Amino acid sequence: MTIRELGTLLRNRKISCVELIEQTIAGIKARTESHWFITVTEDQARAEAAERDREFAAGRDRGPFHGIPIALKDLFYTRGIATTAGSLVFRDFVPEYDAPVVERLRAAGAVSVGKTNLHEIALGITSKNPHYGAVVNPLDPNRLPGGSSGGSGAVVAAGLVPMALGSDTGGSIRIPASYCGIAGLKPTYGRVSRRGVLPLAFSLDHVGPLASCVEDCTLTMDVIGGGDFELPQRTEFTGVRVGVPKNFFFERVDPEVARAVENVISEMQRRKATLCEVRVPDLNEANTAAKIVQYSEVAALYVRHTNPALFGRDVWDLIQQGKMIAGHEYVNAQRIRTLFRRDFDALWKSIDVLVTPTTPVTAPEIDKDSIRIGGEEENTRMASTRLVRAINFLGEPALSIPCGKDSSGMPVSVQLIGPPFSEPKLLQIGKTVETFLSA
Amino acid sequence: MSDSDDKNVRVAEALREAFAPLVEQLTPEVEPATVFTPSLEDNKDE
Repeated sequence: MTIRELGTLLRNRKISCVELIEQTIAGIKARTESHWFITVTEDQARAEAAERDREFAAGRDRGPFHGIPIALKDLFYTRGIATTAGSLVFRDFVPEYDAPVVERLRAAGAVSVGKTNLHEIALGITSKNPHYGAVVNPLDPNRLPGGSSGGSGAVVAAGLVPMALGSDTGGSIRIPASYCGIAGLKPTYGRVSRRGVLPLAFSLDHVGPLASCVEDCTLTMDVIGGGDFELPQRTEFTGVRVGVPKNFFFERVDPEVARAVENVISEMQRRKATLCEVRVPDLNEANTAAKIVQYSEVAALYVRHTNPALFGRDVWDLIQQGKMIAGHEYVNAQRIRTLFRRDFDALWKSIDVLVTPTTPVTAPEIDKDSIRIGGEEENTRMASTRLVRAINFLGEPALSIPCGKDSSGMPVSVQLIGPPFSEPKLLQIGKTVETFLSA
Repeated sequence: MSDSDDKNVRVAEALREAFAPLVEQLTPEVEPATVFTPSLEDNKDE
């Protein structure tokens, strides 16, 4: 159910906040083998839900999130509650304060039920965590849930909570949103506070929602983004210039994924959008430079941790690789970033939104390190991040929405990318797309 | 050097080699894009 649907039940006294939280906790306990949570904060959740009930009874309504269960990726600081980042390094780390985004959600009435599992230190896309268990995709246990915010994606897709917070450094919100068939928003870099969020790569980290629908992303942004993100609902796209990429985004993409996204573009045109074919800058180059930046920043953070036994093999290897990048290469990658920013600033003069697939494939099988697209093998991590990583490098907001299913029934997702700080318009377009797709 | 160390050297080298030609397009006036959009929220919260 969505935040508004749950809110209606609460306000009509069909269910109390405490009953809703009890149902949620029972749902979590019934699926402990899915490794969706690292810590379940049931006592705190019950106490907060009881307080929200007392407030309702006294006529106080905090707004859409009042009494709504949510979950937090286990890298958001929570006062007095372990915050592990899915790592042994932080196994015993108990923050002394709540991250401002957590504080804001609580003040808005949301009730966190716990801290979700993730790919170790948020560095990877499988969410097969060697220390806290492999996150199971609720749609198909033989498929990856995506990552690094895999637990957050799974708990929303399973219907346990309508929204879970995630973070995105190279696609870590949008990839699990795509593989689990839910909505996910990576806001503009700097739009949402990163204070009290264990970093992975300082200049690429973004905080945002994974949610049951676009409206739930909007409601979350109203709280954590500090503003009004909701524009009036539209049924058509009159005046909207839709960028259709001629290069990069539809190359090496599964035909079923491409067809579903092309269908979205056609439907937008049918609803009066102006289609503009565009050639985007070489995002293979942006991805290369983004990796130089990311691996260097990760290595800087973890350079003092020299015991490989504390890390999974894949994460340890990436940290070691990051240490081999020279200082001049890092600085020049950040200079390359300036050029890409200029190119995209120019692109936004001719279009309002760029429409692309989120991932080139649907959720890959869990036991395969590579996937086959168009007769070519590609490493699963590289393929999963290929269409999303550069957007972190640019800092633009990007929204992922389910837009169909492949022949095996797994969700396909479309990515809507907009200019910096265009989230209200992006969410408005996304909601209209979501509405016509569900009609 | 272990096989794993060796693999990490090869992977890092491949990334650095792929990156090297990109530097040729940089002219001296291009500055690094560090933290290019200051966070309104961070300013408020900190």
